[in-house]
This record gives sequence, C-alpha cells and structure tokens, in this order.
Amino acid sequence: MTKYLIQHGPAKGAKIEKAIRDNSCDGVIFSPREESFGSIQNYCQNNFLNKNNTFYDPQFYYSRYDNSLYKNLEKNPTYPIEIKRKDWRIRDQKLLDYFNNHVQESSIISNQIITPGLCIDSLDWKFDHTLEIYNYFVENYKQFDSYYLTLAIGENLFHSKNDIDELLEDINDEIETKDGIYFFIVHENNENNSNIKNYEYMDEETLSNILYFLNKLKNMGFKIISAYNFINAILFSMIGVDFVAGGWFNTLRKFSKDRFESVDTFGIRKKRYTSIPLLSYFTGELAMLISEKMDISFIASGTPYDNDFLKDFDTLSFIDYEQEYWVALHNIIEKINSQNKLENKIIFVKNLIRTAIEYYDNMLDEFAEEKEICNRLKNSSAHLNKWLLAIDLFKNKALII
Amino acid sequence: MNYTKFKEIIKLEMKKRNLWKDTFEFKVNRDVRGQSKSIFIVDGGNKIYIAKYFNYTEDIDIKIPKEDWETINSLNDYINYLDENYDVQIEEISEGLALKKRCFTRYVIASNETTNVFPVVYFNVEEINFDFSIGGILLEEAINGVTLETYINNPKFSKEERIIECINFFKIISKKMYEYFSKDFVHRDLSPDNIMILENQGIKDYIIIDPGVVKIMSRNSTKGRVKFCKDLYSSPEQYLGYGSTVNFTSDIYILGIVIYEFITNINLIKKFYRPDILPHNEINSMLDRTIEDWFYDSIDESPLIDRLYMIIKKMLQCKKDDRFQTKESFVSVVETLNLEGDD
Repeated sequence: MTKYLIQHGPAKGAKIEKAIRDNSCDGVIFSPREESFGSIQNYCQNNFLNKNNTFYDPQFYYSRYDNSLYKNLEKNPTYPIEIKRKDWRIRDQKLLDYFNNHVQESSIISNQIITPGLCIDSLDWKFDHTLEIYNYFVENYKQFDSYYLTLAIGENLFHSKNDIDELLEDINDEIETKDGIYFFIVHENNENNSNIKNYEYMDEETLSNILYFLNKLKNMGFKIISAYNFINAILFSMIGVDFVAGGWFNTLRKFSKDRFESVDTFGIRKKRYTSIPLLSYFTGELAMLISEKMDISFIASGTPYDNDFLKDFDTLSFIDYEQEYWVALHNIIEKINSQNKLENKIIFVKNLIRTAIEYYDNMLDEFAEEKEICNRLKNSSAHLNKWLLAIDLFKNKALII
Repeated sequence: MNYTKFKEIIKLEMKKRNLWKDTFEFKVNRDVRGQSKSIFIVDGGNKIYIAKYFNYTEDIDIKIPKEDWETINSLNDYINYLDENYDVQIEEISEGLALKKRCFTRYVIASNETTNVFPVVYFNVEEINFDFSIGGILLEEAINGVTLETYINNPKFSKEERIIECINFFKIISKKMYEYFSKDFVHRDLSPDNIMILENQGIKDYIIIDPGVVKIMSRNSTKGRVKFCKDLYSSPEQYLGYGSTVNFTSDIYILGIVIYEFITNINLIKKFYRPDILPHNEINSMLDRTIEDWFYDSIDESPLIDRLYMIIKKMLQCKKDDRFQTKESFVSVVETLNLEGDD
C-alpha cells in the first residue's frame, strides 16, 4: 500500500491544505530550508495535519554544500555549517546539540523522526556516518514511533550493481533496528542527456538498480519513503514502497545540486498537464498542437481539471496544474495498490507503459510530416522505453519470475 | 523612492532605539552610485548616520497592483503572491530572493563582528514592505572622508609615492577582506568609490562601504544586463551574471583591478571593454603582454614590483580556482610585500 506525501518547498500558499483536504495526498514532508521551524510549527496546528501524517526532513545533507545555499537553515543556530569528517568522529558537542534540537523540533510536529544523513556520492565516510547517526538516534532518543534513515544517494552510485550490493550489505550489517528509510536520488546534470529535455529520462541500467535497491531494502523489513519524485513515483509504488513524495515545483520532484548554479536567471514557466495515459508531464502547448488534428481526450487522467484542460489549457492556473498532478498520481497509485502482489503490479505497470507508447505511436503517425511536433513527441516519450527495459532488468536482478 | 515615507520609518525606528535627537535632519543622498538607496541624518550640517534601503524585489519585472501590496508583509507573502497570480519561474525567483536577503544579513553580521572594516551598523530590519517592494533597511555611521577613487586619480603622486601608498593600501585592505571573508561575507562591489580613506595624524585607514547585491536576471529581459559603470569593477562570474557562484575570490579579482589601476591609472575592464566579448578573457590573455608593459611603463622594475605584478596576475585569473585557493594564502602573500626590503 503506497501513500503519497507532499514535498514541502517555497511558496506553499494553500497548496498543501487543498491537496490533503481533497484526499489527493496523505501527508507532508516539511523542509526547514524553505521555512523556519517556528512558522512550520504554527502551520502544523491546522487540523488537516497531525503527528502521524507529518514528517520533518532535517536537511542535514546541505551541511556539505556551500553555505550560501542554506536559506532558512541558517536561522537554526545549531545547524552545522560545512560539516567535516572529524565532527562526528570526535562527537563534537555542537553536532550533538544539533541532534538534540532536531529531536526536539521533530517531536513537536511528528511521531516519527528522519535521522540526519549526508549526501552519499561514493562509498566513504559520509555513508558510514549516516548509518552510525541513525543507530545513535535509535539508541538515544526513544520517544518516536518510527525512525527513518536518510539515504540521499548520488545518481552515479547506481551505475553499478556491485556498488549497490555493497551498500545493501553494509546497511544490513550495520543497522540492527530496520525501521524506516527516507530515500532520494541526488541527480546530476548529465552532459550526455542534456539534449533530452524529459524530467523522467534515466538510463535503464541506473533505473533498474534503483528499483532493485529499494526492493531489497523493503525485503530487509524497512518501511520506505521515496522522496522527490516525478511520475516515476508510479514505478516505486509498483515495488510497494510505503510512501512516495513529490512537491509542486520541478525542483521538489527531482533533487539536484546543479540547479543552484542557474538560479540567477529564469526562463519561461510552462503549463504542464500530468497525463496518466501518456505517463508524461505534457506541455499545454504541445497538447494544443495535437488537438488541431486529433481528439485529445485520450490524454485525460480522469481529474476534475480535465474538461478545462481539453477546452483551453490556458484557463487553468499553475496552481491548478500542481493539484492536477497530485490528483492524477493519487488515482493511478490507488489502482496499483489494488493489485495484490508484486508480480501483478509489475504486469499492470508494464501494460500502462505499453499503452502509453501506443498512444505516442499513433500521434507520431498522425504528425509524421511535421518534424518539430515529432521531435517534441519523441522527447516527451523518451523515458517510456527506458522504463520498460528497466523493469525487465530489475526483474532479472531481483529474480522475480 | 518615496523619501517621505522612508524618513518616517527611519525616524520611528531610531526613536524606538533612543537614537533620535530633535536637532537631527534628513538629507537625501544624491550620490546614487551605491546599489542601495540611502539618506543621511545630519546634525548641524555634520553627517552622523546614513540609512539605507536594500530592495530585494527590484529586479523582478512585475508590477503588483498597489492595493494588493497591503496583504504582502514579507518575502514569503511576496513569493506566494507571485506564484498565485503570475506565470513566473517562482522556484528560481525564490532562490534568487533568498540569496539577496542573505547578502544583506551577512553584511550586517560582518559589520557587527568586525572592527573598522565597515561602518558601524546601529540597527537593521531584515524584511520590510516599503515603497511597493520588499527589502531590508539599516542605519549605519556616516563615513566622512574622500573616496579611493579621488585619491588614486591624484596627479601629484610621484612614482615612489604611488608605490608606497598602493602597497600600504593593499596590505590594510587585504587584512580587512580576510576579516570579512572569515564572517562568510563577500562584498561584490569593491570599486574605488566604495572605499573611504580616513586619515588620523598621517596614518591612513580604509573603510569599505556599500556592499553589492546579487542581481536576479531574466533570460528574456530586454533590459540591460548590469549597469556598465559597475561592470568596470566586476569579476568574470559577476559580469556574466552568475551571482550565486560568487565567492571570496570574486572580491580578490576586483581588488586586482583596483590595485592595477592604483599603479597605472588604467582600468583594465574599461580598456578591454567591447559589448560582445568578456573583457576578462582578453585581460587573461594579455597579462604577459601589453598589460605587463603598461605596468612597467608606470613604475620602475624592482624585486618588490615584480612580486606585486605576480600577485596581481594571480588575482586576475578568469578561473576562480586559479586565483587564490584560500583566504589565508591570499593575505599571507600580500603580507610578504615589503617596502623596506626592496632595493
């Protein structure tokens, strides 16, 4: 049974409240980088939130980044600035104070705690310390119902199954209380993929290793939160993670360090519709071009926003599209949840992907003469074949027959 | 800027802190070279304080209706408002605004935690809704003195005087920079008109004023990129608009431009300025050629001067990593410039 959590970020407005009251999302993961704890605490007094559906990511991993990126984290006087290896080794008092502070804040708004973890881009001390800090929390702070180990893992680590097996072995050996994992991928701007502007695109080997990794962790007995997702949340709900999470902005659906390099300039924001039949985050402009030749009702995801979208995509606001994203995902995750075992979930999702590819093929046939539209369609669907290949590779690796 | 309203706010904040005297008057600062808007508080003609407004939202090219400003009291409100009402890249704007505010707060911290580097800051307000924008205000001591700009253009300097004055300045300013680098602050606008000279019984000191702020720029903007006058004292990363990648080496670059100008009276960015190219690349490629020639045309060669030129060369590297790896290495190298040991 997979539930959906909102990844909190800047400009929250009434977004969280609407999504939870409309039942399209089940809870929220707060980020102290985006809002001070005092303000989060006030917000948590709203009755649509409670200590069971609220999570609090301490975002300790930012302490390895340049401190100009800290935003509100800097307001916390105990937040470790540019942490070093020795700080944990010598049990630096400042770090222990920070842990105490995180425990105190978490316990005010949540019954579960996400333990501080560093961004793991290779098998080194950052990984060791992350595991040790989790164990330290389990041992020293008994007041929580659940403990989630932060695993913020660099995309490059998933290139090799051997590295993943080593990670898994260490987690299995070092972690005695196998309770929860708060997982997300730290993406890199891959030069090779820069010509493909598709948020879901990932090579099949990497993606299959991610699925394999999460499946193994689940089999070890961990509850899993897979955070910062786009529509690929579907793949994680296919393997039965407990929570998938994503926010209202693209940066809250795909965690990347590199995005910080480009914050000084901004381009045009595009209205995008989350199409479950196409398993794509489809621009309104492209949908409009397609509608000139075809009836596009097959794109619709079955949300209250469909009619307006089909008539004129521009009548919906960005905020409407953010809600549509959650409603569409929520509906399809419910359907995946209703499949009773992993094998059936895989068959169900593979069928969804095949159907999406067929829809795209039909559109490509219809617009065969129009190169520009064909290119945009190919870009928009580039992830689908990769997903199919990745699922097969995952089945092989996880020995799912 | 609505100075009447600004005066009201400042007077009120000063009264709250018992800083206001009935003999005080306001005098608008017509010198608009700084990146903040400011007003002097004078007493009997003497400038006592200067109040500054750092507008965080000025680069955002959106005019919010006046009546809606009544509901916007913080940067968060502002970001929520833009998101709900305009088709803008709000996540990137939000990151940019956070950086701007950080520049302001780091400046206040750096001023409070260093001595004689910046003017004393008496108070600040981090976020205020003022004049249909959100920004930060502060009140600091007014520095009465001449700017380095006036000083280095002094034609009366002999070659010898110029080198003595320059090296003294370089040593003092690099120590001050080290102090504020240690407080995790980058000035971003170390132009000679932002460095004030104070002279006490023949001993000179330098106070740095008016920190620069990050510019949030739109790729689609038709407006000019950055004001040209400020480009004359900019690092390549600032010139290109990568404000968030600026670090202490960016200030070191700008200081390199200033030191070279101190010796030669030549502003290298102005000299190599062409609208279509990055002048810093040209500077980089000419460091062993004409730039070196002009340097030695202005000053006689000696081991000290050779060493000074080597340091300037290192400061003017395009790649940040090639300038100085650490703030410590920078200040210790400058310290080795010894006037007495030169022959």
